[in-house]
Amino acid sequence: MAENFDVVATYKTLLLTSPELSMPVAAIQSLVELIKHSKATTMSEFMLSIKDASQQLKSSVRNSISLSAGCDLFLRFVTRNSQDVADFESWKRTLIVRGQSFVEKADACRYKIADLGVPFIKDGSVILIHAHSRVVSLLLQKAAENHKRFKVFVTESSQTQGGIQSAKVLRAAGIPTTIILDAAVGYVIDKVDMVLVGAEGVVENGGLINQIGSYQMAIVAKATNKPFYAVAESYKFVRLFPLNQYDLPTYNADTLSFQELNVDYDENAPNADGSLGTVTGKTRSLASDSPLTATSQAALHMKVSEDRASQGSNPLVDYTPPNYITLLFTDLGVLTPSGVSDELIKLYL
Amino acid sequence: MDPKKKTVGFAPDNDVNTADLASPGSSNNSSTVGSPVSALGNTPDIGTHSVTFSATTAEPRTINAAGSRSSYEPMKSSYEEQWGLTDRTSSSSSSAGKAHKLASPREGSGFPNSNKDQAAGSNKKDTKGKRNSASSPGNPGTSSTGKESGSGKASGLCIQPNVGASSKDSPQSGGTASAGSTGPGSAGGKPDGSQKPSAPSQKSMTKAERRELQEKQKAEKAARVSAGLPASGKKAAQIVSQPNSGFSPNPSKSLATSFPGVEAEKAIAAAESTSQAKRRERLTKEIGLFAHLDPPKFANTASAPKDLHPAVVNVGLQMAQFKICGANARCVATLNAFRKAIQDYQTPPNNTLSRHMQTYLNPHISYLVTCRPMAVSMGNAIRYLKYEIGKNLELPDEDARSLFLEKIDNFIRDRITMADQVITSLGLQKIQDGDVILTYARSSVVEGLLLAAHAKGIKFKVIVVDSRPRFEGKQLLRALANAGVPCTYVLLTAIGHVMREVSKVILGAHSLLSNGALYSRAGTAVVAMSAHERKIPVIVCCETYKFSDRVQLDSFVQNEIGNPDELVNDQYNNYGHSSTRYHDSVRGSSSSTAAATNGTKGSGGVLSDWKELRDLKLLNLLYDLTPSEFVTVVITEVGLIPCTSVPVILREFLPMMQQ
Repeated sequence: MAENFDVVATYKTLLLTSPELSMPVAAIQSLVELIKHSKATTMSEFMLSIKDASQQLKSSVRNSISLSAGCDLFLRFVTRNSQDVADFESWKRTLIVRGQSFVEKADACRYKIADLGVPFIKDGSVILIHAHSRVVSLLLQKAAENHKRFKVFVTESSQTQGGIQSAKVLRAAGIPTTIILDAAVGYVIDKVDMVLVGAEGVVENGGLINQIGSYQMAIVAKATNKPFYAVAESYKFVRLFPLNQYDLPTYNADTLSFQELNVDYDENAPNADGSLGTVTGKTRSLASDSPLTATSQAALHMKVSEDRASQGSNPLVDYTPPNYITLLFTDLGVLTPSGVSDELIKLYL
Repeated sequence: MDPKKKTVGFAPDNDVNTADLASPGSSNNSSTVGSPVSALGNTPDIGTHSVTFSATTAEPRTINAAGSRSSYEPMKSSYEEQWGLTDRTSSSSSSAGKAHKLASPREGSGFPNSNKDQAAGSNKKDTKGKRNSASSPGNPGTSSTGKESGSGKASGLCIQPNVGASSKDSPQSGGTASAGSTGPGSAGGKPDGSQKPSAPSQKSMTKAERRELQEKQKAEKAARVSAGLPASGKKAAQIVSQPNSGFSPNPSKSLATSFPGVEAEKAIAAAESTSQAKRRERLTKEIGLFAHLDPPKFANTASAPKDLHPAVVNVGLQMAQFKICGANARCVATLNAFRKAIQDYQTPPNNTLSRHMQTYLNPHISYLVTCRPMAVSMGNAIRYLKYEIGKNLELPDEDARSLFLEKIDNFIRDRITMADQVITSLGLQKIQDGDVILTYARSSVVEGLLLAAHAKGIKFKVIVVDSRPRFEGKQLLRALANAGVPCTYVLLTAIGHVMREVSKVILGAHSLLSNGALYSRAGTAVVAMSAHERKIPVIVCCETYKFSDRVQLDSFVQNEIGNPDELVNDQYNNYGHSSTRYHDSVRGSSSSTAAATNGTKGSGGVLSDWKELRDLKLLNLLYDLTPSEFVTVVITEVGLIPCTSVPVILREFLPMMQQ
């Protein structure tokens, strides 16, 4: 048992120390570390500790989708190999070895994907990408290395500012890059030849879970008949089947819930305008029209800043259904969305 | 136009004089002339014709002919004509019915076609002409036998030129007359044109004759009234032709009228080439597009081999009567019956159980197929059983017996019972508070899922969509209502209305095909498509044992035809019947006889006599196919998968299950 081993802390230090590491790989690596430190003597105890740890990991971060992909994959890997265990200690050692080799290979995944994806980038094309994705950046860098000439629009992605990071990386690679507003996707789409996005997770039907804004990009791309490619390592495949945005594990009752309108007006509005007895949404609109606009606007401002503060209610990821995705570039090959399900079934059944 | 019709109508009439059959023939003819035209896409014309005819002539027999047909018929005939389902040649009676039915409303509504005016004008002439012909001395020479006249009618029905042809049979007198008269009418007052079509029609006419024989009896009833009419072939023809010439300018004006004649020729050719098949079709009441499907089957033990196990016989009968219904229920019932059969099985001398088992089961299986086409689920289960039998040929008898029994039990447990439980638990993840779930007909898995969701305390509403003729959704509704689930019950016709508030659609499946298509109760496709239209997720619950390696692109290639009587013989149809009678009586006192006959005929519902109606065929398809893009997710016992993954499951997973 890993009494004094903190899997979450390990995970976080791993991510901090090596920024190139993606979340699922970091999760797998910290689980391998856990096995190394494990003092479990029986199989079931061992399994329990791993399950515990992966649960801890999943609950430690707000957006657990890609992390849980890694955890599930490792769990599956462990359970699949647990049938033919002769010697517990030696089995543990093989698990560690295999886990580490997986982590090492994970890096190679991206290069393989980059190689597969480069031929899709045509000379002189304009590419729209979303926020920051290591694998997408790598693919574009590779293409530039292969003397492809292309330009990139990258969305700012206001929540994480990932676009700015992308732009830095790409400009460093000598790729002309323009940062656009998230709201400008429709504006630039006519000039764009293809859309490339990364993925937090690829779900069972070949749909995509990615940083918020991907879905609307996909819709715009579909509407203008531009190819929409997703780039994802196969360890990001998750056994989820969301039916719509509200069927994601990250969704909860707070997500984009309507704040109670009268929180701040309880004091302001009735004081400002005594005739308004009850405080409701109606009060609010009336108040803003009343001569005492200043007060109510101040209240509104307070409201907005409060919203900013409670940004937790804004979703971080969205779900892009498979029918909007042209192809997925993965280390298993270039797949159609339905091919993902094929691979997942092979993996998990 | 009218003259033609009139002539057509009358040429046979003349014949009728000698043969009692004529009167229906005449009435039919007149309307018939219209009908082929309609088939050729000139409906307004027909309408006018018929209008004129019915309104002006108002002959009892005409009405009779019309009245005896149900209001439903006209639609049917036009539908079938449109799709090429009916013989052109045989559309007589129905078209006649149509003409009459539609007559009054059409009159009211102004036709785009100029014919209407003509018709109105010609109406009088028509009657006149008729009278003329009537008064004119009958020419017995031309009068053909009753059969002939009938044939004339039939051919007339199919295509106007035919009418001419029919009369031509009796060469000069009646023949020419009718031909001449028809021609102008059909070809828009061009006598020449009329002659041409008549030539090809001769062949079809003889066929028509034969058909007419069948119709004879029916015709005779109505014929009495008309028997008194004097019919002279030549004179009538001449007389008739005169009005024609008088009207020729008018018809020729409208292009539409001239076209039908030309197209009629083509139609004749087409009709001839397929007439053989069509004839068979009509005799069996089977529909051309679906001739490859088994006709509906009925419970019948007469043809069953004698040494069948009673349990299997029982199950077969219950399935034939739809007492056991639904893919799961049928599969379990079959397997249990086989289980009993294997239990009671006595190995014949010089044989071993496992070696003889297959031969023993085969007649049982084929008996079940004779009761009702095998469900995919049953097929898969039986295939599994056969596979197990074939795998264990060397086992001693008692071991083999217990092994097979165990395998059957395991199959039911693993692939059906447990699978349903897993599907239920997976499905529960997809039902949230506040959901409005729409489901169609009844599926045992969906019922289980909804009840489980309710038991779990999820607050949701269910809309049960149902359809004729089986109303299977009522069972589900009863179960849900008993459990206290808030429910709404609508028929498929209201789907567009209720779909607005739906948040999820959950459907059952008869089978999932290898291309991801969903094969399920007829009507499912409509539900899935209308949900897809609104981007509402469509969830299908299906055990993997219902997966099929078949690929099907539409609902026609493979389907099951249910008992067509279900469509027409139920209490709700009496409504339509009474309204029909009302219209008949309104039409005028002259139609009183018609109404009377009609009344006696339709005692058991307006279409209870549909088998007597020559041109009416009913289609009761039991299943339909929903293409994969309309299904969001399939919940199986191996997880939630897109329906395009069916072949992956078949390839990767099922071999594993078989071990």
